[in-house]
Amino acid sequence: MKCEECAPLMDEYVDGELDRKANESLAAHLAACRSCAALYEELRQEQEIYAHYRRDLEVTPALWTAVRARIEEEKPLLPPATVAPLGRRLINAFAFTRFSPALTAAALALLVVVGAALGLVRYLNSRERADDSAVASKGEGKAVDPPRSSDTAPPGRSKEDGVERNKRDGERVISVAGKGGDNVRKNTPPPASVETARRPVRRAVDPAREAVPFEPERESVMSAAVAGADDLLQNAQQDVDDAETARHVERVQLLLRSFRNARAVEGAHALDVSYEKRQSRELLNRNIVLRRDAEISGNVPARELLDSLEPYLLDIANLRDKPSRDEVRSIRERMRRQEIVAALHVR
Amino acid sequence: MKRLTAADAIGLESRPGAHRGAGTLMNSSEELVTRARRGDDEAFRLIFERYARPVISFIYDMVEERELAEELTQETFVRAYKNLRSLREGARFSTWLFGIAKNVARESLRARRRDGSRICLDEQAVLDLSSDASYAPDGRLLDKELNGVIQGALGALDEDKRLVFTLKVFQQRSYEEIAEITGFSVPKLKTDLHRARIEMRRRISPYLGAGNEV
Repeated sequence: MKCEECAPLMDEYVDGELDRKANESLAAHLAACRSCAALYEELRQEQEIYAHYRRDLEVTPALWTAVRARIEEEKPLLPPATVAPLGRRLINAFAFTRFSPALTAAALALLVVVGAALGLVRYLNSRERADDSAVASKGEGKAVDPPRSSDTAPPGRSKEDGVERNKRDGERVISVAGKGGDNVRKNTPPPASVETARRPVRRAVDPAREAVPFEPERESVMSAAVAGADDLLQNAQQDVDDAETARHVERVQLLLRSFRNARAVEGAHALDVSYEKRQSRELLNRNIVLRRDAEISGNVPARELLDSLEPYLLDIANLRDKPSRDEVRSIRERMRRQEIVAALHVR
Repeated sequence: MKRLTAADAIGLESRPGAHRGAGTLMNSSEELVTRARRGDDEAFRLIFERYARPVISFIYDMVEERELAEELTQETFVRAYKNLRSLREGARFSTWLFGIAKNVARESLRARRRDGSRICLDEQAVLDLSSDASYAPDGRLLDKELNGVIQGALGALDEDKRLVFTLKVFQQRSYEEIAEITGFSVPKLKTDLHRARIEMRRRISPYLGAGNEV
């Protein structure tokens, strides 16, 4: 791509509106062309400035009260709410599973068939038992015990992948069962190979500059904390059925690790966390949406997990692009302390 | 600088990224809308909770007055409630809601023009802001003043450019969504957006120090 082709597309590139081919082509040009890269950087900084724009606005409870009052006034004038036909209601009842209507209808049909098959099997079994009883009583006059189903799990409990689900009155409680039984899993250090992979690269840091220094003792504690968080998140993920939430949690994990490992680049005066900030804003937005979805669908483990992640995302999103040592340290300290606490809350 | 809160962040919910591949989100909004259509007022309250902030922010950017923005936000949700059943099956609710908000805002602006009561925030007013501007030691304009400068520059755009700029830059809508909300063609909105950016840049640049060059 040439500069004269690149410039008119720059706005769309910044807006994320180019198709994949054009996007890649432009990105490749920016890597090679200093003047276009400078133009892109200007536009990017401009976006950053607008991202800081804050309106003096609040959505107060009074606003909802006013809306509700007006709705109540309008209600008598509105036609009655239509009740969907039974077929549509049945399909909508399964809409939360994210199946398309056609697939949902197919699933319903399959359920009916399976139910009918089970019913037939039971009927045949009961006929067989009745025949057996009739033969036995005819021949020897002995009662025949009804057949026992084997491998029946105790009611209300099922084991899955080392995580025990205690179902009490419809409640799902996350519990972590270690090798010793129903133990709360504490921070266990990761295996050596993982620890090696996590060891940060040491860079020379000029103590005269305000860079965040490398602190070995904190690093090992942080590693343990992140490992504990990994366990927590892994275990919670086992209980979190929603694939979307699991992917989101994985991304948050990566962000927290990146934030933990961020170091001042040689020659820089402070830590550059602009990437983590941007990621955090995106993830925060997603987190809130998923948390509310979990609330609506009654998925308590997911909601609790997402609740626990939100404060970190908020704090990182609110950092300046080049924050002070203390600002970064305070968040990392909280990550270290509260991840341990969060792990202890797992039951 | 005001800290980003969860309530602020939910305003970013209308970003295209929040909907792309987000089966959970779309079905949840769809589910709420389906329930609200059947007369479930609690579902409508949840819809309000989800969308009130982005809607009021958008309207405020258009009309530049807080109390008026609150009134018009009320009007938007009341109209949405009344017309829920007219929402096409499969249509994206947030786009439809923003379409209502756009209409409500434009009607208000038209009425103000007719009344002659609009206070134009013109170039002079924007320049006057600079006399009260405070600068941080490194030359950055302090956030409160920058907010005022941005607001002033936004108010100086013509309506179409302000509409498109707000939807793209502040509400993070895709071109396709903006076209649906505004009724503009994609080429027109791209042109308006490009020109809006140039005008905003021109107005804001004089107030930015070394730290905030545009």
